[in-house]
Amino acid sequence: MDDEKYIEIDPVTGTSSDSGFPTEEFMVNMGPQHPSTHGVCRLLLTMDGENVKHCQPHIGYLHRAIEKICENRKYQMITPLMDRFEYLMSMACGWLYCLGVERIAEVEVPERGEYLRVLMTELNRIASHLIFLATFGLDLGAVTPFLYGLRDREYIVDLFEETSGQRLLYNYIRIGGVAKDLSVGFEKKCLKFIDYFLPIIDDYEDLLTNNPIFLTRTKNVGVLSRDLALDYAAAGPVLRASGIKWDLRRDDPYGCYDKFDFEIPTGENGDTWDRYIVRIREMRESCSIVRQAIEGLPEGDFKAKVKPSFKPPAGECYTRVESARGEMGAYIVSDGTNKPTRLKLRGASYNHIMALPEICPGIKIADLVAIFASFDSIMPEVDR
Amino acid sequence: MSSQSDVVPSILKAFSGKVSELELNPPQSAILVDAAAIRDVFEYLRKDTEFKFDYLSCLSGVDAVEHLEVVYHIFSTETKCKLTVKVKLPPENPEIDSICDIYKAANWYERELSELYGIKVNVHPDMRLLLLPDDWDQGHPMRKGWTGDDFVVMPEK
Repeated sequence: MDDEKYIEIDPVTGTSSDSGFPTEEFMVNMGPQHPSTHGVCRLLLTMDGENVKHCQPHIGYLHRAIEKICENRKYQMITPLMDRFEYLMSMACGWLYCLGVERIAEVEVPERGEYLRVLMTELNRIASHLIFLATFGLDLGAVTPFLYGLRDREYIVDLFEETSGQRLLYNYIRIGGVAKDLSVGFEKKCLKFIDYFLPIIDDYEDLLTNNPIFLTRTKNVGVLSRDLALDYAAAGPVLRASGIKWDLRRDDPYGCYDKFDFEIPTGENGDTWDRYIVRIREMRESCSIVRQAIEGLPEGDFKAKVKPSFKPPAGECYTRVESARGEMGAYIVSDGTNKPTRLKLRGASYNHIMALPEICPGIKIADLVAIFASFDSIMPEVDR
Repeated sequence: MSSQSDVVPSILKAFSGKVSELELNPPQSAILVDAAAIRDVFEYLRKDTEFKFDYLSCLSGVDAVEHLEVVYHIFSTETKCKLTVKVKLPPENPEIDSICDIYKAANWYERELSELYGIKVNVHPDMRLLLLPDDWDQGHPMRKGWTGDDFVVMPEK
């Protein structure tokens, strides 16, 4: 037919040259079992062709009622549970909980204990960012970062296994300090790893940072504005990518972070690429903190004495630490017995997924995968 | 101005009668607010004070048996001030106004309050269950004294 019209689709915006072209809305269930939702999250998408019109996250598939279980456990029994709150950064979870209990009970942590906490948490941050790098690349279709990321994470996990006996859920940070002192030769191995790892970060950057395909997939995709980021209480690398220089390690220091010297990388636009580059730069800063922690590691006790029948006085406090995903908070209420009355956990991924419907309208479904991956959300932290 | 010690006095001055100071252990800036005045107080905290409380960090429900508490932890990324805001509610028919148009982050936290504690949140845009299954009919599990099918209280040794 010679009156058949040729409709041109703009490759950038996805709009057709013929605005009268009829399309029909349809719903897509992305998840709960979907490799790029990093856990079990269901995104109910209203689609117009390939464009997302509306996104509604459904969470709760991993709800294990950790908060309720904690109300039913003694204080020392809670530390291993905390690791399950956010399994990619267990060290920070343990620290968060112990920090709260120590503030209520006024337990003084020995300086060596504080340094060991910083050392382990920063190594854990690198390990977590490596998982981010690995899965982010994989979600965008680049398989090489996945292999590299997991390869190098293995060195850190070996160091943790040597120290705590565990490879994922360490139960290392305890009320009053840490569970064990460093094993013989740990410092040397750790410094060797840092020396090996710093040039490797440049290799990652060669793979992704200025790769034209990667840039097209990430630049100006999923922009989370400064105001929205604050309004939704986004945290960590997501907040910093939106241009807000906010890091709890500097702005609300806990432990002995005030003795360390490090930069806080920020992004400009709050797009997917910024969230990626902030994490890459953070890995370098973490390496520097690990080195400072080993060089300044004081001698002495690593754990204060805490009685088995530990009962903090009545009180309450909200503590927060900077995990790899951002502000991780715990609100602990004690009534003077050996079990907490209330333990509320707050994970940054919760807020990031809450903000997702705001940035979704108008994007392509393939970009949604990139945005979700750039949040580095982890579902156990959301569902608790 | 805008130092941590000025936070509570300035709010007490702006809302005399509706807000009182709370003494907590360990010491922290904390206020107790009338449930009816909660929206006015948060609008003031978000927009009008020089402290610029722009960050709702955590919103928790607490069952203190004789009453329910809703606890807001807010912070400022500019002045680095902190504030704990508490509201006390009766255990029967507790109701609170939503603040999720003032702090968007409150949205899901309030849905949690409603399903886990049975606190009715007024004027909330979306009150579906969040963490619990859609066909949940066993009450509000975070209340003290709640019993469910698989729930066992740990025995004291």
